Amino acid sequence: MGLWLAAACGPCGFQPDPGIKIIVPAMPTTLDWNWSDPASWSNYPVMLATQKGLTTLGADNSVQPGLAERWERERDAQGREIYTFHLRQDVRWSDATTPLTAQDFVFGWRRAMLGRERGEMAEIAGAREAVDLQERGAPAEQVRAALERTGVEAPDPHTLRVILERPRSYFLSRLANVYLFFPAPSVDLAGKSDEEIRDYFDRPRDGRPLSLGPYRVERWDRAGERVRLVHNPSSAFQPPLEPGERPAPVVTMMKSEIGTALYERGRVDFVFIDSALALRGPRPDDLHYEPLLSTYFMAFNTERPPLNRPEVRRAIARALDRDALMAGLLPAVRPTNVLLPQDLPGAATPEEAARLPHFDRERAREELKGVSGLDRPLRLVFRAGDSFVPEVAIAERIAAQLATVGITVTLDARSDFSSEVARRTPEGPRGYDMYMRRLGADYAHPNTFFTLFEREGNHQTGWETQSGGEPMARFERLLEEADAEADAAKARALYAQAEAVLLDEQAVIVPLYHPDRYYRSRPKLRGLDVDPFNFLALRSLRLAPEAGEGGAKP
Amino acid sequence: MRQLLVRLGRQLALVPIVALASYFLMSSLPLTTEDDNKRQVSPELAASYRRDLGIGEPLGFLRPWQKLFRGERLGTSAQGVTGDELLLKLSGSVGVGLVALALALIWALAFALLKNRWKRGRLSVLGDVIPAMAFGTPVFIPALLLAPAVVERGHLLPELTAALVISIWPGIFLGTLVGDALETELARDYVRTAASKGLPPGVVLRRHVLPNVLPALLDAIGPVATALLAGSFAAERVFGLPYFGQLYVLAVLQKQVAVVVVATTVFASVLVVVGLVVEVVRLIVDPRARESRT
Amino acid sequence: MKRIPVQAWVGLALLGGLGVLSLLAGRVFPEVLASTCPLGKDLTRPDRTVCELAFGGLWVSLAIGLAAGALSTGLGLLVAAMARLAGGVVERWVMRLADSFFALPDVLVVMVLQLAGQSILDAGGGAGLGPFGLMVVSLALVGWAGPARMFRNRLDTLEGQEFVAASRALGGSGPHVLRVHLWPALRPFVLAVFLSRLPAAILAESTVSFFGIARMEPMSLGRYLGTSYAALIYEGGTRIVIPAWMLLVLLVLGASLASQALATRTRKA
Repeated sequence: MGLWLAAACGPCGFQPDPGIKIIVPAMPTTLDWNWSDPASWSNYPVMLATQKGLTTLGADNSVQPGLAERWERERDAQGREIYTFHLRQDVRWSDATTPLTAQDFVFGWRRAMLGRERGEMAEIAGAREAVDLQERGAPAEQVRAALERTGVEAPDPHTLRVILERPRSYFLSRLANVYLFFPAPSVDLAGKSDEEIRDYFDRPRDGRPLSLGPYRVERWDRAGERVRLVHNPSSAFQPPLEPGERPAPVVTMMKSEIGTALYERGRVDFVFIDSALALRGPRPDDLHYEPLLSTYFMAFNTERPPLNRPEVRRAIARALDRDALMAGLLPAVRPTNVLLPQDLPGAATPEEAARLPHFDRERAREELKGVSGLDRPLRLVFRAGDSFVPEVAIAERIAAQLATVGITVTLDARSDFSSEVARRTPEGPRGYDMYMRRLGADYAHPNTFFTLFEREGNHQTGWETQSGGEPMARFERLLEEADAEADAAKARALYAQAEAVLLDEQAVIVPLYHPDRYYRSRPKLRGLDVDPFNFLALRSLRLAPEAGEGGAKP
Repeated sequence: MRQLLVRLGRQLALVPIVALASYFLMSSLPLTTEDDNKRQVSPELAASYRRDLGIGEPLGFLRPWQKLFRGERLGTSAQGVTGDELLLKLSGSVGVGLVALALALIWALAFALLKNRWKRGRLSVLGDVIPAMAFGTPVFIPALLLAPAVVERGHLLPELTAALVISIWPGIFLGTLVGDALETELARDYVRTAASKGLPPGVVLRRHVLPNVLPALLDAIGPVATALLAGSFAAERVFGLPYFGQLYVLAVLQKQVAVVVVATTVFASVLVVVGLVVEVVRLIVDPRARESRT
Repeated sequence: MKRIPVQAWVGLALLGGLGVLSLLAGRVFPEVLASTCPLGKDLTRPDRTVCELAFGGLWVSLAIGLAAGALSTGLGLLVAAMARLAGGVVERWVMRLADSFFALPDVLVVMVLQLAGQSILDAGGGAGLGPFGLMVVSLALVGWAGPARMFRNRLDTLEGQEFVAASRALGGSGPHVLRVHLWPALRPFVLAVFLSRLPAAILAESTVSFFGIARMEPMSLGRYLGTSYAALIYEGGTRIVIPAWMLLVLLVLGASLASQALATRTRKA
């Protein structure tokens, strides 16, 4: 029997990994950072720990050099903005031999332009044409030729030139954290087919995929829902070590339903506290709280009657009492009716916020009276599974609140949320009526919230087709103007106008609240925290000096 | 002998039936439609269906197997599996399942003996209540009660606890069957004869009764193995074991159709192998089976 | 033996009691339940009490179990009757098909059927079947094999009896014999078979809901257990999970007792 066991036990008893263990609420959906995935927030911890961008954000959200040691910015005759980045010469990929070249960026960004979050690359000159060609099913050579004409060039191995359609003041901040812009090891990938490239990233082995950050992905066990990161000694971006500290040799990110229990028994070292159940009772000493620059909102399918009329959508926005919606669900909540959180530069003033749709049940009832098409139940879709947003409770309360104004809502929790929201019915419009999701900032600029709702963004609401596309065009124009505006006050006013188009005039979404994050972490983990962008700062993780002998014992 | 071969052949036929049935079911769904307008899933997933399922081709149902044997990946890059991963996970699940089977036999014998003892007293009602409680308790509940103590402990503890939890219901079920068979046997004449000859009850049990109870036991191993397999899904999820059950559930959740087809067939094969082993054991153990029967 | 054993009465009483309780508490008087529930509010859904969710879930689970049990028993009966009528090779092959169905774990097949059914529903097909209907159909498609086998064996035994031979000798055709002579003898057995399918259906449904593969709305007991079982590890969590679990166990106990007792009785008859 013992022999049988030994022979049969596969990855032999699957011993717990040594090293630091971190419980995350969701496993990454892909490790291919250029191709990405719309449900991308779960990919960030791994990407940010293993890769690096051209720039870095400092503690005060200012732009600092990253892979690029310096850059120049200029405008050309056609009003396009040209960045010339000078890369650091001393950076090597994790195999300690392959140097970083500008071609790595060109390769990666061209893939990203055709990837699943291509809307994020739209501002690069020529990207839109390439995407259009691909959507229309043009032959591969044409698409490739279009890609070659896009505004990413490598004049020499250590210089990268980027051309944007229009000036974008936030572009440098984006480069720091939006992992679509990270370089790909073109030496390894040149000449491989699409499938082979995706395999390269998603099936780690033999030290691949190469990385630049302080960690490298060694293994991704999907069935076991764990990702194993090992320290990358050849990285130029080691965590800042104080005397006696050392970097963590192995970090395992795992998913578990009993995370808190495991933390209390000392078997894991970091856990996100994501359920209301766990936040009850006495507050433990090592519980940390981070208010996020993030908004949880409900969006409408603007192509489906009766939601194809802005007045109906506005009325629904008025029917929701956000305070009651969130009452008692979490220890501290920030209900809201605006998209941009208060702490974000460029957020709306309280007066402007008051003008946006807020709770007014009587008015909502008035406006919804006599509206045809509300007799059918509306389907509200949200993501199934655990999340730090109490989605089930919020959904049920929304259904109850909308019932008081005569709207029936059916709830649909989907594990295939992204596909379900994007799915179109045979008649043409998408299949859902309303959905709920969270949007988090990637950098401290209002644009990070608005990108989702631009024409190429992944909002899936169809609002680009409303009123012949005029509101969308106006929205995008406002955003461009605001971004080009040097005076902060004027820019803020323009952003407020853009928000008004989105929330009031077209009422595409209904913001509900700004989520927070709770987590518990062992004192021996230094530098591992969660920033307002909901990024787990694995790249600054250090282990405290041990007091005497004894390893990472509970 | 020919009879045996025919019986074995019939059992083996299950595997291609399941392979074909699951393949054709999946490929006829709107899920795997070739039409881009009616696509229900993300483009990568749709592309993986086109690659792995060979829909529309004459021998398309062989395509997932072809890819598997060539060592290629089934499904999308992020969520798919290769053949050796599948085997690795399977070996883990089979290991847990074997331990669970052994535990189930122990539960069964214990319960059968206890039930016999209780028959005469006031506790006879327990003989009905315990199976009902065991059946009515989904595997994930006792699994969760034990999980915090063993998860991430290593040294095969989660695996053993998972085997323990999986084996409860099948063991009790087996125990009721064995108990009934035991009851019938103990009422027979030869037992009385043996006891009156002065043999201690333990020896009577071991040498005379149990060999007669064994065929009933063997008959039940098939359904027990099925129940063990069913329980392993939930147990693996709760204990965080990265084996076949977890792989299957994730494949269904993520709509990795080729993986589902292949995994279902693998399950069927495992059960067929169990059935074959049972037949062989029966041949060895039960002289009645060796005689030719119509 | 005409007397129904005590066990069967206990089982049926349990089932009936649970049914009535869930009907009253979950459907007819939910406010009473909400105000008097000693177990407090559910933690993930703070607006609903545990009692409301547990009894409401019980109602849904019972409904699913009854519908799926009835459907699978009916299907099994149909298949067994037609197989007996056809006789010979057809019967053998149909029974082999039933046995092969039996071989795979029901949870596995239900998962695959759910995947298939959800895809069909999403494409707009499925004749308006909601998640409830889909689950019932999946369970029935998995559950017909056992009843088919049991009915076929019972029919086999019954046909060996003298009154059947007499009827045949008098010129009775197959369907006639089935309808007039065999069916009355089969009737009590049908209840036993149906009751034996009930707990199996409910448990399969609860396991599949636990994984999140089924989208049962309103929530069934299985789905409730599956989504809130993690509360067991937090303090105060037992009051959420234990009642639902106990209800499930009682349901299964009632159905098992009744079905076993009725089956034994008809066997001895």
